[in-house]
Amino acid sequence: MDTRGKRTIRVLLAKSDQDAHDRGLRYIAGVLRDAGMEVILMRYRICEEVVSVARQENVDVVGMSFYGSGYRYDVPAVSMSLKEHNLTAKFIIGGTIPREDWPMLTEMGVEGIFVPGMKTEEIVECIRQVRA
Amino acid sequence: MELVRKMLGGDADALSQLIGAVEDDLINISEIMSKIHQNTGHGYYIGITGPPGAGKSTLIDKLTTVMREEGHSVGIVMVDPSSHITGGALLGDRVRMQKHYLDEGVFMRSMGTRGGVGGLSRKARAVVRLLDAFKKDFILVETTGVGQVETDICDISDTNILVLVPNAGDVIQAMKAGIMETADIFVINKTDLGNADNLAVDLSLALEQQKRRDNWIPPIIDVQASNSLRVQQVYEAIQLHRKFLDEGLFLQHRRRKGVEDFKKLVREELLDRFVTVLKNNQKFKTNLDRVERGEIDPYSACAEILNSVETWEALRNSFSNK
Amino acid sequence: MFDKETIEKNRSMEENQRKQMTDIEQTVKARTIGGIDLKSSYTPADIDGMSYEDISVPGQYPFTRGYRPLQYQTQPWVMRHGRGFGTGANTRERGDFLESLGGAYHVGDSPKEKPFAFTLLLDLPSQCGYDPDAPEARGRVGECGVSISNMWDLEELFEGKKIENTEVIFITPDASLPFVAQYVAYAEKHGIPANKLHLKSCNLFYHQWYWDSAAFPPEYAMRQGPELIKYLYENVPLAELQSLTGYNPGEAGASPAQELAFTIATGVAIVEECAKVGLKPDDILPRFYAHDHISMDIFETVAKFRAKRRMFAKIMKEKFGCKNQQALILRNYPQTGGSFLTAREPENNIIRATLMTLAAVLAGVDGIWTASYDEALNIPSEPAVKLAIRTHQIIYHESGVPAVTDPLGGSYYIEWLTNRMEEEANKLLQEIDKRGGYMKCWSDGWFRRVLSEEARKTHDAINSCERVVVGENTYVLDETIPNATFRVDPGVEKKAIDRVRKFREQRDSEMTEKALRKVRDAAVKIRDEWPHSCGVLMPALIEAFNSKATIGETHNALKEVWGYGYSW
Repeated sequence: MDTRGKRTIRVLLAKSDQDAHDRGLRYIAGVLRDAGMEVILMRYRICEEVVSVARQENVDVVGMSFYGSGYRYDVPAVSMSLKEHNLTAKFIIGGTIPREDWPMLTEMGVEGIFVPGMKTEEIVECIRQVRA
Repeated sequence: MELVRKMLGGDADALSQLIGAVEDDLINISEIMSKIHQNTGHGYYIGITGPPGAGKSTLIDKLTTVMREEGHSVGIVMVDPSSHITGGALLGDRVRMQKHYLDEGVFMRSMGTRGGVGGLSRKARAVVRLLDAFKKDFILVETTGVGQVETDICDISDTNILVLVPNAGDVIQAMKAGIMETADIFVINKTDLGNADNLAVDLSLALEQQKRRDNWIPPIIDVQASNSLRVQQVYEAIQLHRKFLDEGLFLQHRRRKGVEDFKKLVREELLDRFVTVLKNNQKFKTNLDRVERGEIDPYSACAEILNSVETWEALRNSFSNK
Repeated sequence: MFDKETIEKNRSMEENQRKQMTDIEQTVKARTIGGIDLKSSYTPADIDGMSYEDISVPGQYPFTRGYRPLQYQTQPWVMRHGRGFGTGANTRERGDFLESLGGAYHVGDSPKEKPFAFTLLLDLPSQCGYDPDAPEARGRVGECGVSISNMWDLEELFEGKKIENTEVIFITPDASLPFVAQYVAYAEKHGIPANKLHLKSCNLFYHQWYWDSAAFPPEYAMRQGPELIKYLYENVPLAELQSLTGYNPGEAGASPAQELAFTIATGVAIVEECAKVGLKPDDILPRFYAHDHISMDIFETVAKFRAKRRMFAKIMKEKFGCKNQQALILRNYPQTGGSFLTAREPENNIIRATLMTLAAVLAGVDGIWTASYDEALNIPSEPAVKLAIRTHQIIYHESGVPAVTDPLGGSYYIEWLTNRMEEEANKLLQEIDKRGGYMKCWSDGWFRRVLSEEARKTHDAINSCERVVVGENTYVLDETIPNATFRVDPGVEKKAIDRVRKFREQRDSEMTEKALRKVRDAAVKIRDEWPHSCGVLMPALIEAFNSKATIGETHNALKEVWGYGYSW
């Protein structure tokens, strides 16, 4: 397939070292790849690594996955850091994120929250809009 | 232009955006390459190839640690295959190299092969040069598999490392792919799984039988990359090879590589253009039909296209229009 | 198994049955969740080829029908509901609440000694060996488990409890050795010698072949097995030595046959590694146990557990020539599969958990952990966990199911399906051998790929609604995800950080440093002088905790020496 001249969407999918269950993230990675995107997978010890990688890989989307815990600190930290470095990547998150926190997270700059039970097509659509 | 200037000044974000622009064809590659040409030549390029599961990423991770401890900066390009159908790719090699994410002396970039005509794309080769201009001391390029991709890598790297695992029938594969002639160092990884000796013996025998243009004798080093065992030796072998090249041949060797790249680029660009032209060429489409219906044989059909003045006009026009 | 006449009669009956079916009905094919093709109904012909000895009776080799003649007639299965969040006090209170509901928490067969099963859930930083004040722990302290990093935390957790009457289990992928060592040090400090402690080791050092989280390199990770087993075998006679988990592979995507095969392969590999350090299968196997997965397919689950009992007994006997009958018995404490629970219409999960629990009861397992209905939203609230306990109590007391051991035994379908499970699992075991053995499949990532592929098939099926999940992808009334039913107080993180810092301030740092150096030295010996060096690490760890080291500090020592991350 000749991709010259077509801007391929690059997506960074990140998960903490401590978060064990990753089958959801792997599935999403496959779905995005099948939708023609380049998916970079990473695990991080501390969330500063996410922005460092996002910078080097020049990604269009930064996606973080949380099962159980961690978003309380990581999301605001990453969101702020993305702004500090003038990165225009779309910031989305997924996993077990309690509903009451969605407004607060959206306020922080999260542009999409995807929890289990939602259709994968929604995620693809949301990401495709970076090229719209 | 601005991005290039910033990148040459050491701005990693500019480098990242530049690479993106090159990948997405937003920018004229030759213009960039000419602007940075004088800044290249400092970095040492190392290609790392081998079948999937051989542990290349782990080896690169540990090698990078050794290089950093020696005070060198490192650039890493990891290439994974893009799907021919969807164009997408899963770029997962980074996971092994987590230790270096926050180290500013290490710049890592994951790339898909993104179609392109033949093996390691000219874009990947351009990215390697960008890392060189960015003043990385060592530039490591990792690709997976056996075949066209690997021989491409050999044409740009100074030292080529082939990583194999025991029990995987790799020697036969590697011989078929012609890789034996171009690997400068052989690494047998995952020796904890046994049978490394058999593979080493097979390799030595195979090496004895083949000819190299230079007199370098590729060392065979067994390691357990995951436990960092003997990775230092791989680094030392790289240094030895570098010394070997330096003693007389290095500049020649570099220039030869530039020549190979140049020849390849001409071929690739020409082929690319030609294919684009043909897609819109009426005679081509007609002959495609005729071949399909059995009206004409493929050879004559081809000769008709190439002998037609129309075809060459169209090709020339495509260059002047660009 | 049946005489010729019966089989003949049966054949003609099946012929007539086929004629009863319409053309369309004849083509209908159902499948188990794990992908096994099924007939519309089963008859003696389907199990005729097998030998009756393979079915046997409950309590006799190969234990297909159960490990004891009487399964639940005299005592129920153990209720293994986990608890843990916030601080030790929070967790202890939740434990008291659970106890107040009544029920079977007591383990063991002895009528006198019945320690209380204390299934502890640690928060992520603790599980991965990070103290609450480490940068890695930010935002995660006390969130989905209790934070334990130092001796004071243990003191708060067990305040008022007689630990000699408690069977503690620390569930942690990589930090089992430090946690056990700390517990032993803690107990000794309070006058309870190690040989009086009830402990269930949950050393999941092999987790990286089913999860993608960071781990020690496979070769060194494997050594943690014999190191802990040896210590417990020699010093803690009331401890269970090793957990073989099928739950986590199941949650990672494994089909029942894959779960069966890979957990048995794990058991075999561990026993082989233990043999290198002089531990005999007959001695250690009796104290191994399983923590398996329960799926929504009731009969497939029953068949899986029965097949597991039979396979484990046969394989251990064959491979290791075990003479001790107890060595062929692998007690099972499975857990209802969390991945089947939904966030939408969480009440539906009550039904799901009930069905899964029933499946395990029908299979005759030794203990069960039933999920709470709100687990897809948050850690269990009190009402939810109460229902989970009631599920056990109602099934046990009101359903009549426990009156007979292996009630489904002899069903043509169940016996056929049990055989099929064994067949599929054996194929996979052969595949592992063909690919170079357990360690190779682990470090090559083959297990991971198999599980990923299976998980992908499941997700595809759910995404396309081919697999129906009521209220979630079918019969959806309301797209909204409900609000959480339980939140952990975020102030917990600060409390834990303050405490661990105070703990460090009040100790003799030089002594601690010295002890940590010894831990590092021991880790180096494990790395470089295995298997002769087996046995040096646990004593060094215990001494470190006696010298007031924290979990994070000891785990860091191991990380530094062995490396930690993603090495394959």
